[in-house]
Amino acid sequence: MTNQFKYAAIECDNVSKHYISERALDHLDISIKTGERLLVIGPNGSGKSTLINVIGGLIRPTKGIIRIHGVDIHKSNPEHRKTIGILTHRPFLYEDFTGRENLTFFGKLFNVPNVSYRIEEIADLFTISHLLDRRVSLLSHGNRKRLGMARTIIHDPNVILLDEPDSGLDTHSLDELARTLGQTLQSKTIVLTSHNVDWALPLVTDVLQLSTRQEALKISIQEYHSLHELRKS
Amino acid sequence: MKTYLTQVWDISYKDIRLEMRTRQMAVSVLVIVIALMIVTNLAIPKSVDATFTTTATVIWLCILIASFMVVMRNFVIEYDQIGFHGLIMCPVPRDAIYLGKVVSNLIFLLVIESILFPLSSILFDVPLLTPTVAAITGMATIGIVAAGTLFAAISVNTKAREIMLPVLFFPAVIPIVLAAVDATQNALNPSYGANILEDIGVLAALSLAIIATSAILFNFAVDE
Amino acid sequence: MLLQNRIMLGLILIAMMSALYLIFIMVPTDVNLGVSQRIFYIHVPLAVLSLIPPIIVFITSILYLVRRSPQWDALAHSSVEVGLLFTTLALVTGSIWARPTWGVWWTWDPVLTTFLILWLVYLGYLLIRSYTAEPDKRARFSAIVGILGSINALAVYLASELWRTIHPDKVIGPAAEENALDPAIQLGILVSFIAILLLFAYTIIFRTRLHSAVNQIGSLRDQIDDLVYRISNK
Repeated sequence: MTNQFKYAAIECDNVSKHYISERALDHLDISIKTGERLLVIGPNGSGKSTLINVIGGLIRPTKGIIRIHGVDIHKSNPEHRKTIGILTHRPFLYEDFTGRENLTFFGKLFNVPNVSYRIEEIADLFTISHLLDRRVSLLSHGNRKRLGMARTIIHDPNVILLDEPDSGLDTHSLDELARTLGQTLQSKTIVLTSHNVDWALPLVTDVLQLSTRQEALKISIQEYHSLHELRKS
Repeated sequence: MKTYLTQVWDISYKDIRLEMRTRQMAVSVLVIVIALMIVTNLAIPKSVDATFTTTATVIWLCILIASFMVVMRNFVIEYDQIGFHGLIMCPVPRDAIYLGKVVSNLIFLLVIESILFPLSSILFDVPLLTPTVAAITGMATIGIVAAGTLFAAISVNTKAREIMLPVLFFPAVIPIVLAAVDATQNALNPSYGANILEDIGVLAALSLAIIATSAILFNFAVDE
Repeated sequence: MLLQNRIMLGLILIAMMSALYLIFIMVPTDVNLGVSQRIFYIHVPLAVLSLIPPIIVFITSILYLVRRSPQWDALAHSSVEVGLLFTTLALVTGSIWARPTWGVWWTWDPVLTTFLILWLVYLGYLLIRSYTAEPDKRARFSAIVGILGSINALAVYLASELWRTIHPDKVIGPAAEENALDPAIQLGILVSFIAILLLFAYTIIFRTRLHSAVNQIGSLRDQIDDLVYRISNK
């Protein structure tokens, strides 16, 4: 536990990700402290999803190192992946299983103690308790997203990575998600991407702006507001 | 160690439950393999001397085709539903994922074999339902499935999965199939007996070697 | 570099010419088999040298997976390419030799079976390279296929020896040679072997350099992109 405060929660050390046809990330150097909440914004193709996937250990960077609480996640024991909870565009749910079966499976793999109780707890949080015994293929997009969120935090990770968690959600669900992020996940380190800046801004402490020319600018929320007020006037 | 085995079983159990839910794989594989068995049975002219050889050959051919289909389906479903990233993000050692897949593939194949063997017994009129044949089949199936699982994991990642898997899989399982056909043929022959333990031992050794090598190499197959 | 290449090619030319002269003119015609025996002098070196690439691929693939330096991948790749060529030629020349000698184009004896499987393994290796888009994955997958394939070739040989000796072999094996005492024949085999060995070595080295150069161009391109990026952002 002390490691949490000794190192930054997330450290990207000269991280680049190049694909054959394009460069998604280039020489990215950012540090995210424990408890910080970072909103990553930028136009399509600026590398937001790639960044989430790279930090989450799903994609190996072409160059550079990602450290979560001081540990290089790509080189270390898979055990360290317990500290991360990630939600990408694909919710990682088995279509033919029910919500409960999906959560049970991932809960077991993540060594969650008292899985069935924990499932009830987070299903309550995302108000999907009544949907738990329905097959995922029969759930609406919004409900799948909520189930995906439940899967993301079932093991109580310290670092939570969310790639456009708000896309396709109705107003009610957006409010619910905002509440969850604001209250239940208060002490966690969160990185999220979103196109809906108005919704996301009140939830975060810092903003990372990516551009299609692989530029990255990390500023605090206050600086972001002042920048925007300057622009308005 | 206990956690490791639990993780292996969690993955296998998930595969089995998924298949029990949909029954996609079992039905299609059984239909094709039984059809193949019947067709070959009709096509091969019957001569008493060759019956043991023909039976052994046809059975193992069918098992080979079934293995190919089973390992392919397993990874295709995994890929299409949650993608490999879904398993990579879990705090599970990569070889545990491999072993988990091998166990579930093995169970699927054993179920198929348990239908195939009685059927062949009837069609070919040969004494297939003996403990010896069961032991041979079990050992050889482990080896075939171990190799197939690794190659399926690689093939699913390429642009032409249906082509890659046969090209890699079939040459690789030739040694173990040769051994299995030989052993089965000998086991069917009532005047045999002496060397059967040796045969089973060789199969066991081969299968063990295949699993060990494949488990290590699997780590490199899902590196990202 | 160019001079080295030219010297090497010159040597190969001389060796080949000598070999051909020996094979077709100097060596006495075989009493039993006639002129068709002569293809044996080409077949044997081809076949023997075909057994070297699996060893190279096995070692370099392991080295690649452990060290991850692209030169091992390049060497493995070239070995497979040359191996495929030599194995194809060995199978074809062997078949041509077999027809008048044994009366059949093909037989399933252990050595031939192993060569055929080796051929399939090479094919699988090159196929997986062409069907995998990302360079990193491509190298990793080829390494895995290379390791398993070379072990498998050995296993197939042992398996065939153990379980396919039901059918009696028609020959002792292609390495056996009657009339081996005649000095002209010995010289013929030796020179032929040297010539084909030189060709083998040269082709592998040449292909490896080619693949390495392609890798280097890729990384140079990356470095230039980096530089351009840095300059344009100053």
